[in-house]
Amino acid sequence: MSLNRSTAKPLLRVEHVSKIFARGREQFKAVDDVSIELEAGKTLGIVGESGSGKSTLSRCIIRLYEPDAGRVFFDGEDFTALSANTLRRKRQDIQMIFQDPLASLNPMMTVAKAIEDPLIIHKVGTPRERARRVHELLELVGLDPTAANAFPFEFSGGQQQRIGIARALALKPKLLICDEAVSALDVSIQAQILRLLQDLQAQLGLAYLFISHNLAVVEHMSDDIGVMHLGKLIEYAPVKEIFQAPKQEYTRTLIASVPYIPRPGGRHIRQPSLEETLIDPVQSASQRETTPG
Amino acid sequence: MPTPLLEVNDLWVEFKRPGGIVHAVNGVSFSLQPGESLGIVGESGSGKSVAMLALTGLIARNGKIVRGEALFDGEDLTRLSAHELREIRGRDIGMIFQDPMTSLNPIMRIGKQITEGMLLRNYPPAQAKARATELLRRVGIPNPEQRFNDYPFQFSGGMRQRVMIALALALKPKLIIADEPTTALDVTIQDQVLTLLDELREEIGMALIIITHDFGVATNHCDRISVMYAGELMETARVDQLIARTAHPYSVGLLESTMEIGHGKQPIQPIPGNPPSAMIVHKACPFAPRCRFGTEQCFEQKPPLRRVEAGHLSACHYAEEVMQHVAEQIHS
Repeated sequence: MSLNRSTAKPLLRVEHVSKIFARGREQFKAVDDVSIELEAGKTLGIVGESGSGKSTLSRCIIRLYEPDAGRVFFDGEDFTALSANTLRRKRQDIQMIFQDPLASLNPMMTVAKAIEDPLIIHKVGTPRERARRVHELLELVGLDPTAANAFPFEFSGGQQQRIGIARALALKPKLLICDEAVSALDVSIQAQILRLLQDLQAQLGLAYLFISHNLAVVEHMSDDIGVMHLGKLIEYAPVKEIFQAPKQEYTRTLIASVPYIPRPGGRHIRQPSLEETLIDPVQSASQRETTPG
Repeated sequence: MPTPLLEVNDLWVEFKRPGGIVHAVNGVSFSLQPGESLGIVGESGSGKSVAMLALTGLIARNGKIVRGEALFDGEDLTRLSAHELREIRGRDIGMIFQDPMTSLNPIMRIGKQITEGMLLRNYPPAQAKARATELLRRVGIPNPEQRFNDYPFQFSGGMRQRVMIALALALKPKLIIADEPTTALDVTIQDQVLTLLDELREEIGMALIIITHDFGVATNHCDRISVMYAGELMETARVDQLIARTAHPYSVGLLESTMEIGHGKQPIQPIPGNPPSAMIVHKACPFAPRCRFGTEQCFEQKPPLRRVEAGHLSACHYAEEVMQHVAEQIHS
């Protein structure tokens, strides 16, 4: 599946990546032959339900998991072929933010230290330059400079995610992977963080791989969308096409499942009649092996 | 007007903490007719869950109802003893929570959990088992006779929530309180669980309170909605009124912050700022610092919850102007 775009050099190109996990004697393909592309400064949304493989895919991209097949090209380089040392250096350009910012921040580190940490690890700048950068980053994500000396637990969920974003941006990455980055936040705070990400993209030319189970959120953020189901990329198209002319039944089901507000003159209240799909990824993976479809 | 099933008047709930008093619910009033479904919408810390938990006697020991009454079927819940409340919970009021894994006993077979309440109330065991199996079938659990002996971990998240619903229905309650019942579920499953609750409500004629942060859920599955902020009620209205003639700026902001499909990639318009600390008792409008309609009056004078049309209440000095603004937006 490809978008047939004439992009000579995408920032990220994932080619036929697969990742297999074993549970007992059973194996299952968490990611099954997925290929995607992402241009600099753009957003690729990846949607899917729990167990669809969307997070595993992102971990394969930065080689937190070693993919079992396929290749990942980032900024013209074959990421999958890099040595551990080179990889560590190159990974500066790809950063991640997660669903629970508190769990991804060291509780014993002040905010300033948490944001400075990646700069220290990668030996960037003098202490004074780093302090200036921390100050800059706090401002960039809309936090008061006085936040610097506080600890993560002292902040609300939305502010913690801002700290996570500041830390992720410290090394000036080209790609930010947002893995359910707003899913745990309240509606009004979620909107604030999404707006912040939109503004940062415009300002810094960041590319986003935006992973979420929430179709409405992904639509607001993305240029292209990939729909994952049981490890496979089942649909992959520009955002408009996905929402106006979804080709897969599963995509249509996903779209129909998102509650919308029944506004006057809007769509009629939908009466869904979906049979619950009792899918166990392991089971269905082995079923797929035995019953070629 | 028929007698309401639940009528809450001027409810105040506080928690004592080492750092001071948390004012979680500050003078909330609402009512619910038999068979009606009410959505209580608000963000974390708005007091929406605490209000309902306090009524059913489920708040922590450092919390208490300091004022107000809650007439349920003519009885004031706030005056009942822990023992009396326990009788009402389960029998007359069933509850469903966000995370069925933490609400179900992980080491007890689900059949036993569903029949437990019935057996305590002297149902003959065979009858209790038959009813539990029937309930499991009704909430959509395949092979209920076999699944009866399974443990919670043997079910998926959506199936577990169905088990919770069966458990809540066991003693034929008049009211089900569902606290973020689908927040932890995948979208497709979320939709199925809510549809099931709709069907059951119609079938059994029970009333339903859905506590949610999600306007999408509340507008599609409730008759009326109450919006809470900082422990106070901002607006109460029928769903159609709330959407087409929104009369509180906070509701407007929340509606605008709700992500919907069909807009494409576009800038999002969030409500600025953060909710206030619950350690403060608000002498003026708690939303004023974040409000785009706010004036000096809003920082000085508390707007009373007042009627802006039949069945529609708003706690905003400028409710009429807000309604006007919303009407213009819809027509433009």
